[in-house]
Amino acid sequence: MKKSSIILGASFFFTVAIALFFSTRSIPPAAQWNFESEVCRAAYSSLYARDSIDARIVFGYKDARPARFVADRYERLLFIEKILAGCAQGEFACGFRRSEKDGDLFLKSISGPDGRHREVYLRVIGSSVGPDDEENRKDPFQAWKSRTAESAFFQGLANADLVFYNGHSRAGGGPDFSPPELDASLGVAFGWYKNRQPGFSRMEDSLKHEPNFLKLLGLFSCASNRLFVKSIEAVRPGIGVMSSSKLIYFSDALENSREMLSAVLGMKCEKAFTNLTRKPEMQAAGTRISGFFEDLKPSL
Amino acid sequence: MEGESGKIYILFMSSIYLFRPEKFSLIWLIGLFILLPEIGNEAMAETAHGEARGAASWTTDARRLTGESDAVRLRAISRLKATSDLSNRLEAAMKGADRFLALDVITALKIRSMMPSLLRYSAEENSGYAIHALNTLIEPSDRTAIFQVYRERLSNRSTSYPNQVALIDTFSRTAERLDLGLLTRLQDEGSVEVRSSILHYLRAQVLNQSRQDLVSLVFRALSDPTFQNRLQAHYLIHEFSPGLKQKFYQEIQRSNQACLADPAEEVRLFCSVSLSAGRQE
Repeated sequence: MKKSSIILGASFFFTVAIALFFSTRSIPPAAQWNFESEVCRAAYSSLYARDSIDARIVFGYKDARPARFVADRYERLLFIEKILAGCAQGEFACGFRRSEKDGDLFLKSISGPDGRHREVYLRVIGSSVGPDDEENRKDPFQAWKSRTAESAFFQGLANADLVFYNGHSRAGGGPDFSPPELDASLGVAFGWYKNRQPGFSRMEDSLKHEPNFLKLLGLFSCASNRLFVKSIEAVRPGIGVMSSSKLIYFSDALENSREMLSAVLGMKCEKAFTNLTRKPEMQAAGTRISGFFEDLKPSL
Repeated sequence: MEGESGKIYILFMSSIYLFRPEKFSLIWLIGLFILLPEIGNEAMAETAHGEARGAASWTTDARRLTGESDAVRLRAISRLKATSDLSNRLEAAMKGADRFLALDVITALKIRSMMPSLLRYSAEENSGYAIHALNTLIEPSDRTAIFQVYRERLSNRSTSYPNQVALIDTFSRTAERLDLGLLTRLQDEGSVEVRSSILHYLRAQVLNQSRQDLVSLVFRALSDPTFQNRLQAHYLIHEFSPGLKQKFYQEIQRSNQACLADPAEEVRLFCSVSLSAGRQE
């Protein structure tokens, strides 16, 4: 047999093998998204403008002062269990695969609003190293955890497409990713946070950064609507903001952030979001959305 | 007399007595004849309302146990204590959407009578929160038995990852011992978060309880596939006492070399900074 025939044959089979390999990868078929309105389509075209979507869910340092218990690691783990699970009908914050090398990174291939493939890089980051506030303060690794969570959040306000915060508001001085400042009675020094506003002022500065890719910010913390939204909208008009008008219970914050993520990944429009905010856990927290769908009233 | 009708009746009759005492007896009898059924209905409605209040309001009060002022929290606790049939309501709620609220109430009110239910429930509930609630109720008299159950659960491969984390953290906080064999298996088979919790437990045991038999697990963690866990292990090694560093000198030298060549920038950065700061012997 001629050498050229062998080479040609091998090339043919190699090509077929490559084609088969790529065809069996789990890239979703181009979905036909049905947008109720041009406003809705435009919102998602903006959110999914890039081929790689940078999404970040950052859990703040969830102390329970004056008790020593710190809970964000458990809440984060519940969130992760949900996003790794298979997708039920109508669910989209699911079916993620976990990076082997980066414990905070989760990936999912989706179809964008134009039918083209997008890769969602979802970082889910916690702030605490352990469950005890006293012990965490003695652990040098705690400083690294806090820095990493801060960096993910504040840099995300400029560089990411979507950022959600699930944590304490610190009476308007938050978001916060570190063991709290304490008063003489070992409770949270709310006065200190109100005066210094360490998290809030850094949030404002980060939002002013140019260029800025952020389209949607979720603040799942107590009374975040009253404490943060007005200033955010002044600094960054037109940005989508999800917030809570009331004190928010931890399981409501968890469920609300997951449902909102699912709605965004599923490219739901105004009507679906309106229905979503009528759910009991959303009502309990007084969940609001503003700015994402331009023509929408200030809050749903 | 209770209810609005009764109050109006008394006010009316008092006025009659003051201004037309001669008519008092007749009007009193007529009024009672008319109002008795109304008063009866109001009493029944009050009871039904009380029942409904018990059903709906315990969750409202449960939400006030966190994030509110001390005064609000104390009032919520007081109302919860007065809620009829609370234990049964909480038992039923543990199976549904209000399970976290139910666990918070059990913790806040220290309902030790629910410990047997909680112990059973914590075996099937996968979030780890039932274990946190149970931990708040443990007293010295039940500690040995409860921790034996916890050890058995950690040995059971079907225990969920969140429960494993909650259990390992419980052992961390209480300085209770877990044996090397079990920890090795958990480190081999556990999720990212389980392995991180083990490192947190090792920190408490090695640094505070001088358990040198567990040091080998710290060095094993340097091969963790995720860079965050490798970094956590390096941080822990750098906290070793001078005596421990002396004893494990060769292993630490090898770990430094591995650290400086680590594929993750965060890990390399930590080691180059800490080595040039001269913290490493």
